[in-house]
Parts: sequence; structure tokens; C-alpha cells
Amino acid sequence: MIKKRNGVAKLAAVAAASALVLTACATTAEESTPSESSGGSSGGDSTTQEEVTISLARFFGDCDDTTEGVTDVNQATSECEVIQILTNAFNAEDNGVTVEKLGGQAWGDYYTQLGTTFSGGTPPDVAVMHQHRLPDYVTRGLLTPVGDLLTAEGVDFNDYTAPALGAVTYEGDYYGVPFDIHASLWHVNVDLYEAAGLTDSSGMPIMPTSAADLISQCNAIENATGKQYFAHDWFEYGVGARLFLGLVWQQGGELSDGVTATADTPEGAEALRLLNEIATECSNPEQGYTDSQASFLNGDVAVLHNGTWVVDQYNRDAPFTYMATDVPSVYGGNGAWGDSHMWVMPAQADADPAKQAAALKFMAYLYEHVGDWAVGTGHIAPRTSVIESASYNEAPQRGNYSGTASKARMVPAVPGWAGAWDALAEELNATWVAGKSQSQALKDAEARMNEALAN
Amino acid sequence: MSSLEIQSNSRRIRPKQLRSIIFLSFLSFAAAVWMIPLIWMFSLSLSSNEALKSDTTSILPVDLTFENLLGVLEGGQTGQWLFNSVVVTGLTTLGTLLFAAMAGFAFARIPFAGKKVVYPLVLAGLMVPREAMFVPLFLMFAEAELHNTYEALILPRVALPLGVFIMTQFMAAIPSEIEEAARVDGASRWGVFWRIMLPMSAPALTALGIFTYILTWNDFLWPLVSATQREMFTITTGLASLQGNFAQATELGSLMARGVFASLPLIVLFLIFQKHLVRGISLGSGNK
Amino acid sequence: MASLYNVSKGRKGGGLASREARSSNLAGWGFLAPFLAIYAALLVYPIFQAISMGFYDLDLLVISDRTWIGFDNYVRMFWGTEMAWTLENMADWRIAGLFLLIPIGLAIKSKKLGFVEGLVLAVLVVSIFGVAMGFAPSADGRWFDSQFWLSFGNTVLFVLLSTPLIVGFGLLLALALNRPGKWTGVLRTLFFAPFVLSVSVLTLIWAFMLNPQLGLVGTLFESLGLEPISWLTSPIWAMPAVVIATLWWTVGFNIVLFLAGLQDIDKSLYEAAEIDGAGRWGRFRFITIPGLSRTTLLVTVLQVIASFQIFGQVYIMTRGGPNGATRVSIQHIYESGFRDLELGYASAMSVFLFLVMVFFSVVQFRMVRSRD
Repeated sequence: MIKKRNGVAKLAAVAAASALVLTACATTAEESTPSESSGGSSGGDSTTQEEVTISLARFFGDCDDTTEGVTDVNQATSECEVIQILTNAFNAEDNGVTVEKLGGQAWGDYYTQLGTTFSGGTPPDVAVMHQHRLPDYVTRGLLTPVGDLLTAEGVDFNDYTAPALGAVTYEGDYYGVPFDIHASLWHVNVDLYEAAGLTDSSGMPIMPTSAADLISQCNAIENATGKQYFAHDWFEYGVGARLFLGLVWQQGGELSDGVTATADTPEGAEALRLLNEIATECSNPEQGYTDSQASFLNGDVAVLHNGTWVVDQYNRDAPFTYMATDVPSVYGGNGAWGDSHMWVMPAQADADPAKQAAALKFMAYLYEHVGDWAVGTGHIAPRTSVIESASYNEAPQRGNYSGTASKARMVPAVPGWAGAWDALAEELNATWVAGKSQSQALKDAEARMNEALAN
Repeated sequence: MSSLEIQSNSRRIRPKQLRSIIFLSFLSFAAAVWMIPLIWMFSLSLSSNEALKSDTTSILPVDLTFENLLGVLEGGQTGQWLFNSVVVTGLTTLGTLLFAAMAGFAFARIPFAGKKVVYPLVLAGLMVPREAMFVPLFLMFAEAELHNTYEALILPRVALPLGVFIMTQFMAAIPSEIEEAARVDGASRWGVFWRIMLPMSAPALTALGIFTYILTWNDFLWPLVSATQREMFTITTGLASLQGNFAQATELGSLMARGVFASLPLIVLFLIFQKHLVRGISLGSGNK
Repeated sequence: MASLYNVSKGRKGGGLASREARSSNLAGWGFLAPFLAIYAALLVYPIFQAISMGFYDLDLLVISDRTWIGFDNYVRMFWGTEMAWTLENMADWRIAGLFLLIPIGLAIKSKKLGFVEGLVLAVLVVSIFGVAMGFAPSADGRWFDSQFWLSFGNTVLFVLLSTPLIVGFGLLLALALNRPGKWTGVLRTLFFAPFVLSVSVLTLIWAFMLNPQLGLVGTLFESLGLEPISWLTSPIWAMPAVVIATLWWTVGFNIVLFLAGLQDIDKSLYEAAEIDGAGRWGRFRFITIPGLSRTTLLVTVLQVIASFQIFGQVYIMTRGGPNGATRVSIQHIYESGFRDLELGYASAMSVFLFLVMVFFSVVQFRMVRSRD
């Protein structure tokens, strides 16, 4: 029996030891947390006021190694660097606010992480958000309306373009600061167009003006050059669905009336028909994002349907004459998929007025620097004054797709849209990848979209 | 040739050795083919991002460069992240091994009331989809304000039903005569556990230790939502945070370099410990 | 021999016997305590919470705002509008399923399965394949959740495909690698190495390798004069591609467990058998296989459980496509909870998956136990 107690004592000792080790390590970790912001604020802050620290959640990646201490935004070469340098510069200013970035997550995991911070009751002070996600948060009362608050900080909401303002508006209130519009573009290999004789007198490619025109251009270029006419990501990121959406809009159709989804419509059927024709006659539906881009940059494709975020990259890397242009209107009307990055202010359970004021200051600062963002990334600036400015237009290619600023439309602002969109993309993909019947796909898409929107 | 079994009957040496050599050669060839994806990953990490934008089909590096690997070392707070991973994973593994071995010993070797009820309950824990109870766990730690600490990363992983299952199965297989002999000699239960069962379970412990280490090292979803401050990232979430949009189209070499970097410590670890998986000594007479 | 389920109540006699029983109980619970304490707090408690969440209409973002809806989530999972029972619905799968009655019958006969248990199993088979699978929405109706049964079916398919392959390969490789020596140690490391990769690196490698335009496999096909398959966009080949990638990634786990199990087989048995004149195959059949039975049960149960919970690599490689051909249950659960923000519904589906896994594990355990 004595030996038994000995054993139990040893057990207890081990357990206690483990607990001690754990707490020791935890304390070390907490102590090693730097007290300065992780935004790399350079010194020289002889703050006369109390320094307020706010938390910022964003995707775009983490590039502190290349931006540590950098405050000149002209040195930026990527989305991450632009926003990080802007944050650095803000922190370097003597404004009493320090912005601390929370785990800069990759694109895919951002909303998982953001969602859990809301569940846990400690959302960040400022967060980036896509327009298509805004309704989910606004309808749950999770975001603070910032219209009047920001106007007091000098933000002029009337300077925003209509699509940009629409992106942050919900039932009359403004819920965020638009940072950009990013939209579908057609990236053109002008040399291939020229080889097929499809350029005008100034060397600009002639874009198709009707569905039939598109197919004939496709044949012309393929006959003249032997190269594939069209490429885009046919199955990875729902790019096919974006073009579908644009084509539906161009015919005057809609995907939703704000409450239910309407995919199984004559406009939808025609858009899907055209897409499948392009897929079989003019493209390779087995290509995803990376390979379609690779093909384009290798000069094997005349038109790549991608977005605004690659303009600077293609401009740098394309070994041929490159032009970025609006998605052509082939059905008479205008329409191209667009989304928007915006900065929002989550509603805090115990609102600290100092933090809120600091957050608003930062959001106003970002409003002032949308031009830097647009020039540095290729996204379309959301403010008219910036679009019309010289510096913006001097950036490569911007003049060629300035029309998209007004043609781009956001997806319907309906809560639950993310699930509806994924269902639509999957059903559309099924037609050109798995040979599903187009009419059946549209029926199923509409049903599944409504399933998603209803719950 | 010293590693091959030598027959006492010298007339039978050559065919058996020959068979062994052929067999090992075949196995080595299979291993080489098996390694192709990893070799490719390594060679991509040594290729420049620029060159990879146009050609990814070569098994040898295109445009050989070390900038990707160096970039990982300089990037972000890689040192801190590596430290976090080592600490968290190390402590979790030690804790898991100890707790699982103790619990396994109890289930396999000690008759006690309630065992029949508790054991299935423990096994049931294996079958719970992690994504399901992830949010309640998150909320618990949020309420205790324990996020962004080492405890939050270690504690949920330390009670591993998988570990208990493995240890129970293996400990039950150890012949009881050895234990009985020790008890007769007056050893306490703890003594039997510490001095006999643990050493005899070396292969199982090694296996479990390796698994726990790797699974904890590569754990992504939980550290993602629990450790949101940069200094608390583990190497996996940290390296993931460096990724920009559509990274595989623009910086494939860097991505692969990060993968190499995160996996190398684990491969080294396995290489060192795997010899314990094959026990040189026999267990003695008697079977389960 | 200490059997797993040997519970000695120990209160047969007085005095010494009961003191020993008490000390046994104390020891047992004492050794169990550290594990159990953390397990109860951090695993069991959240599980019960998750179960209870399944009865609510619960929103991920606003956890406090919940409505009790009883079994509505479950109805939504399983049922639909305008449901009708037909004989022909999924006839081929149902007939195939009914063939399961044959092995069940054989198992009862050879005493592998107790009579009562066998009967229960048979009744279950008939109710599932004969009756339950006959239900489907008629022409005007729809499933409430069109993805639920689809993803469950894909999951079952994955389990059936992957389990024999990954367990079998694990066993083969373990047998091959079960010899001491430095070079074998290196080989062991090589076969195990893929297991150390994180899921994001794994999927990156394989998605690229399988890409017909950008990958090595495509190049291989071309060099053989064949048309490269676009694996991940083919409704037929996407699932096999995921199985192959998963096998490459995880077979190391099974190899290690089998190696550890092979150690426990008494070497003297082999020597004795060889002296008795048993050939290699005989030794394998009568010593190795029975000797590995406990480990094989372990590996198979774990493999089935792991396959039911497959998620990461499928999600990243195919997003569940093409046309939902590779959407598995956990992906559906994850999307419902984190994208569609329906935590209650996601929890209910998790409970269902959990019960399925429990069922399969119980069947496997009972089959082995009866054999003892």
C-alpha cells in the first residue's frame, strides 16, 4: 500500500511539473509580445496625446520583411506591399493612433477567421471586406454605420462612383469606406489580333460587338495564327460564372430580384449557350487559373478573361503587345462582374469612444489614399476625382479600361449570396466540364441558389 | 552485408543474399519513384518564380536560385514562428505520450470498475469531426481569455483519443507474464508502468510520438483562429500568412520553398527516431 | 492474459480481495485521470455543446441569437418535398447493397458474428437498402438539402475505395520494410516522408502534377503517346486522383503502425515454424496474419474513421467538383457552418456523421471480438 501511494505521488508530481512548465512557457510568450505595433512603425513619435492602438484585420498577405520601415508607397510592387506601406506611413504620422495588424491571412481563410472573431465577441476595430459579404454582416447588425461619422472626418461620399458607393450602401446607410472596384477585364494579345487583321488604324484591337461577331473573330484568329482565341479559368474560382453574370446583365437580365434567384431565364440560357460555344470552339475548358494565365503569357492565347489585379503584372511580363480592356458588350447592354474591397468598422459590444475615433481616423486616411492603391495594384479607383486625375491615368493601361469603372456591377446584395454563387458556379462548370445539360444545369442552379438564400 | 541474416547453413548463403539484394534494389527503385513528387517540390523551390511562370514541367530546377529558400529564412518572423512550433509541438507530444501511455496502461492492464463504460467513450472521441466542435471549443477559450497563448495551442491536443487507442492496443499485446513476475517481485503499479511497460512499448510510443508531432506541427485551422497575433503564429499559419492572392500563379517557387522549410524538421526527426520502430529484441515466449 | 474487456469486480471475497479491488480501481482511475480530465473538459464538453447546437437554428456570427427548432435540422438533412417511394429508385445500388446479406449470413454461420448481432445487422441492411433508399423526391419535389445525400454518398465511396488500398499498401510496405539495417531505415523514411507535408503543400504538389498542361503526369502521358487526362476536371477521374494523393500522403501512418505490430510477433514462433518445415507463405499465413490481427483492426478502424472525415485535400484540390463529384460530407458541413453561417445545421450533420462512424466501428470491433 505504501508503494501504491508512492506511485500516486509520482503521478501528482509529474502533473504539477507539466503544469508549471506550461505556465512558464506561456508567460515567456506573453512577455515576448512586442509592445509596439506589428506594422513596423518607425520611431520618432513624441506623442503628446495618449496613443490608442486599434486592431486591423485584412487579407492581401504578409510582407513585413520587404516593407519594414518603408513609408514611401511608390516602392510597392504588390497588393500586400501597398497596404502595408500605407499602414506604416499612417503609424509614422503623429496622430495618436497605432494600427496593429492581426494575422494577415491569405484570401481563402479570411472569413473563417473573421467569423470566429465575431462569434467570440472580439471583432477587430477595422476590417476589410468584399462587397458580396457585406449583406451577411450588415443584416445581423454587426457593422457600424459610418456615413455621418466619416463625413465629419472629411470623407466626401459624393466623390465616389456609383458602383463603389452602391457597394457600401445598405438600406440607405453607408457601412464602409470603398477602397477599390475590382472587375473582370479582357486582357488582349494585340499581336494576334493584328495577325488576323482585326486591329483598327491606330493599332487597337477591335472588340466584338455581338455574339456572332465574337465567334467569327475566334475563327479568324485561330485560322490566321493557329492559336487559341479565348482562355480563362473554367473551373477553379468561378470565373466562368462571372462572365455568365456579365452576359446576363448585358441582355438586361438579372440573377436576383433581391430576394430570390433567377438563373433559369431566357437571358441565362443564351449566356450559357454562348459560353459553351466559346468553351468548345474557341477555348480549352480543362484550363484553370494558373494554366490559362500561363498560356496567355506564353503568347498562345489571344484573349484572357481575368481581372484588374493582374494588369501591372501582365504589363511587365507579357512578351507581346498587351492591352487591358473592358469586357466587350456583345448583347447591346453593359455589364461586367465587379466586386469591391471596402473597410468596415465592426460594432463592438463595449464601444470604446477613443478606439472608435481612432478607427475612423484610419478609415479616413485610407479614403485619401485610394489613388495609391489603384495605381499600385491595377484595381479601379472608387473615387471620380482620382479616376480623372493625371497620376491615375498615367499608370499603365488605365485609360484602356476606364469604361469598366461605370460598367462594372456588383453582385446582388443579398445575404447568403456566397453559397448561392458557389452553387451557380458549380452548375455552370458542370455544363462545359462534365457535359451536363444546359437547361438542367440552369434549373438546378436556380433551385440550389434559392436553397442557399432561403436559409 | 552485415545487416542481412546469415544462415547457419553456409550452403544457403548465396541464394538468400541474392534474393535480398534483388528485393532491396526493387524496393529502392519503388522508393525513388515514390519520391518523385517530393523531388519535384524541392526542385521547384530552387527555381526562380519568374521562370516558373512559363514552365513547371521540368523535374530539374529551371533557373537555379536559392532566393526562395533564403526568402523564407528572412521572411516575416520565421524564427519566432519556428520557435512557437517547436515549443507547442514538443510539449504537446510529450504530454500526449505520457497521458496516452498512462491511460493505455490503465485500460489494458488494470481491472477497474467502469472501464467498460469509459473506454468506448474515449474511442468515440476519435469519431468526432473536428470541424464540428471547433466553434464551441473556440468560444470556451475566448471566454477564458486564453487565446494567443501556448496553452490554447497545447491543451486541446494533449488529450488524444487516438493515442489512447494505440497505446491500449499495443500494451494489451505485451505478454502479462513479465508484468506478473515484476509484481511478484514487489514492484508497484507505477514501477511496472515506468520500468517495464513503457520500454516494452517503445515501437508504439515512437509511432505515436511521431504522429502527434507531425499532426500538431501541421495543425492549421485551430492555430488560425486561436493565435491571431503575429508573434503567436506557428510555422504553418505563419508561412500561410505570407501568401498573397493567387500565389501559386505568381510565386510558385517561394510557396514550395516554404513547404520544404516547414517539412524538413519533421523528416529529420523521423529519420532519427524511426529505428525505434523496429525492435531488435524479442518479446520473449508467449503470445497474446 | 490481460484481455481488453477484463473487468474484475473483485468483490467476491472479503478483506484482501476487496482491498485489492479498491486499489485496482484507484490505480486505474489514477492512471486515467490526467487524460480524462482534459478529455472531459476540452473534448466531451464541446461535443455535447455541438450536439445541443444541432437542435437550434443557430447563426455563426451571432451565437447568442438562437431559436429552438427541435429536429427540424435533421428533417432538412434527410428529407425533401413531394417525397415518394419507388422500387426503381437507385435500384442498382440497392441490389448491390442487399448482397451484403450473404457475407452477413456466412459470418453468422462461421460464428464470426453472434446470431443476435447478425440479425440486427441483416435487418439494418434490409431497411436501408430495401426500404430507406427507395425514398426520393418525385418529379415536382426536391430534397431540402440537395447536397447532403450526394456528399454522404461520395464520402462512402471514398471510404470504400481508400480503405482497402491504404490499409493493404501499408501492410505490404511494412512487411517489406520490416528488417533492421541502415539502408532499410532510409527506405522507411522515404516511404513515410510524404506524411510530414502539410495539406496545403500536398495539394499544391499534386494539383500541379496532375495538371495536364503544367504537370509531370501530363508530360509522362505525352511521352507515352497518350492524351493527358485532366484529372481534376474529370467527373470520373477526380475521385481516384484524390484517393491516390491521399494514399501517397497517409500510407506512412499505416506502415508505421504495422511495423510496430510486427514487432510484437514472437520471433521464436517463426523459427519453430521453419524448423517444422513451413514455407514462407505458410509462415505468413499462420503466424504473421493472426499475429497482426490486433494491429490490423487498429489500422482498419482508424483508416475508416479517417476516410469518413476526409476534407482538407479534397476541398483544396477540387473544391468538391466537378459537378459535385468529389464533395464530401465534411466539406458540406464546413461550408454550411462557415460560409452559409448556419452553425446549428452544420452541427446536426456532424452528429449524423459521428453516429455513422460509431456504427461502423462497433461493427468492426464486434466482428473481431467474437472471433477471440
